[in-house]
Amino acid sequence: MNRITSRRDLLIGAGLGAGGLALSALAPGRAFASQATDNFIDPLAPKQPHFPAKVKSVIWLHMAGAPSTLDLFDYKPQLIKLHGQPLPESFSKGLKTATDGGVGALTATKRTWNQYGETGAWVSDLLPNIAKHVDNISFLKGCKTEGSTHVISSLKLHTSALTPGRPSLGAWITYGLGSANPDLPAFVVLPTGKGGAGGGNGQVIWSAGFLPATFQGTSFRQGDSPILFLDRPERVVQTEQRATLDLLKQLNEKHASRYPADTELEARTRSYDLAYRMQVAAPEAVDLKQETAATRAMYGIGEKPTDEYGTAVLRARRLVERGVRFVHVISGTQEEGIQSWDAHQEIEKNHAVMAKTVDKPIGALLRDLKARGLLDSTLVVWTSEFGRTPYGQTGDGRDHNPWGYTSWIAGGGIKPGTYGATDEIGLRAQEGVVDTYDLQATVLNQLGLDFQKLTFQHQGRTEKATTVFGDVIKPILT
Amino acid sequence: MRRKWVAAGVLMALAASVMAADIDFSDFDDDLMNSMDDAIKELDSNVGGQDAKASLANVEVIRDGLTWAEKYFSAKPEAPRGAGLAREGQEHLAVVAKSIEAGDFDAASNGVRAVVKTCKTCHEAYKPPE
Repeated sequence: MNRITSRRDLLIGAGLGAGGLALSALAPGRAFASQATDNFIDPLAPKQPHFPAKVKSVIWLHMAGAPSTLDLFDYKPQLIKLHGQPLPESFSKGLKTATDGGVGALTATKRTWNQYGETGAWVSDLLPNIAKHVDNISFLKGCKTEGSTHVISSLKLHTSALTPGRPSLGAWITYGLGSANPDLPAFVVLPTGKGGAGGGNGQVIWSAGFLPATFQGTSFRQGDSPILFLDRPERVVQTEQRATLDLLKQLNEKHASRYPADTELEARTRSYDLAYRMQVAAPEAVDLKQETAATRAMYGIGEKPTDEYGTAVLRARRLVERGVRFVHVISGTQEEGIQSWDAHQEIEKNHAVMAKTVDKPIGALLRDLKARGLLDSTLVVWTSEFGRTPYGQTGDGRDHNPWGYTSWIAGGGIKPGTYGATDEIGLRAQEGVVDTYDLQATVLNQLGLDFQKLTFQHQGRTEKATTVFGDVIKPILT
Repeated sequence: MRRKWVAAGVLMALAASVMAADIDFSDFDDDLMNSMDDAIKELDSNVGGQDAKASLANVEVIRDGLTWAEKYFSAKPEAPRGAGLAREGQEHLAVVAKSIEAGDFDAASNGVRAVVKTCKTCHEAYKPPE
């Protein structure tokens, strides 16, 4: 045993030893404070899940603005029969229905519908490509949430809170499992459209909240340089940069040796190297020139309506191939006058544009993941902050509907079919009710994380991703 | 002036989905509901941290609240499900207490979620919008 030579050494040694004993390495989440190499505690070191995982990664397809799932997946013959009539009280009882405008007459879908696949899932003519993959999809038709505004319900969908400040699901997953690829962020956000940042909701929906900031999502831009300020300065060559970093590392290590308990110094030194590695890894990960022309065409890249979203979704596939845990793709469009699925008026025009934007790329994603054997190890989640009402608004739109809508999940450990239902007109979830907490709990479960045991101490409380709520949706699991 | 029932954030959410304007809840003990709301969150945290003593103290606060709520709703025929839900909550809470005493915190955690669901069902039925 080394002889302790000073009071300072004794205190440092005792502190590190006690820390090492107190914190169990490799436990989900906790390893951020225990996965030490030398004195450094790497918050992104890979951690073991609570139980064997079904999937390694999640592609979270956020339909920002709230599509009318009554015009996409939730076929309601009774609504067609009741078209033009006032909303019956028997359906609206107990609901505060006027959220963002008046309550118009019941409005039938104008879409044509078919059942697809062996599961016989209903899909409207707006989504012909997704329709080809229904036998890989579990439709959650009894979804419900809280709130009546996009910001509040988007926060709840992603952070389980109605106000900013809690960590997003991707951050919890990164905290729980660490990174599977040290050269890339573990949690990537791919916004699309003119609004870009979360349908106007901003980075609060991919925030780390009260978790350490290292677990927050990293937003990638379109184009060859996905991360801001990552590129090497124009007049610095690679060898020069490497030499500079090596010198900086030596100086930092010399300085850090005087403060062995200061992990922030070590973290900063390592962050330079991470940034250096990412200069190579991140552009490579999103370089679609490495894909075949057929693959790019399958995703709709090169066609105006699908180019941007298809690019994002193909990037998502490449990122999960490289071990990124959570890819949050936010839908948007470059179409003039339309920013998202939010169709308070002109729903036919809006949904025609938005559906065309996402349908081909998402169909391609499902096909591509399956062909590469990745669908078994990836979870694809299609969801939104809420749905839209069966009654009309402003003549040709639909209002926000937090009471009943459809989301879907495909991928590892998921049983295809339809789970849950709304009432006869599609207003309110009636069977197999799934709240956003349940969706989050299920995603965590498929990643091998027990949503009740993935905890973080914050302000004296043991906090969980889904707060005090949540249930894994067991009927949809294989 | 009519007092608020629970924390503002929760109200903001449920205001969108609940309409109980026809029932007069002006005599409801809102402070008690606030205490229960805090106690439930504390209980979930303390069960997660396997702190039996603190958890059982939280259980007492919630039990008192649910007992009061059962009495309150028993005298409120216009809200017929309230008393039954309060009783159901107490039953789940009894399971939580037993599980804590037995050192089975996993079962206690499941029990806490059952209590929370009962609370939520009642709120969805009767909590008036702001």
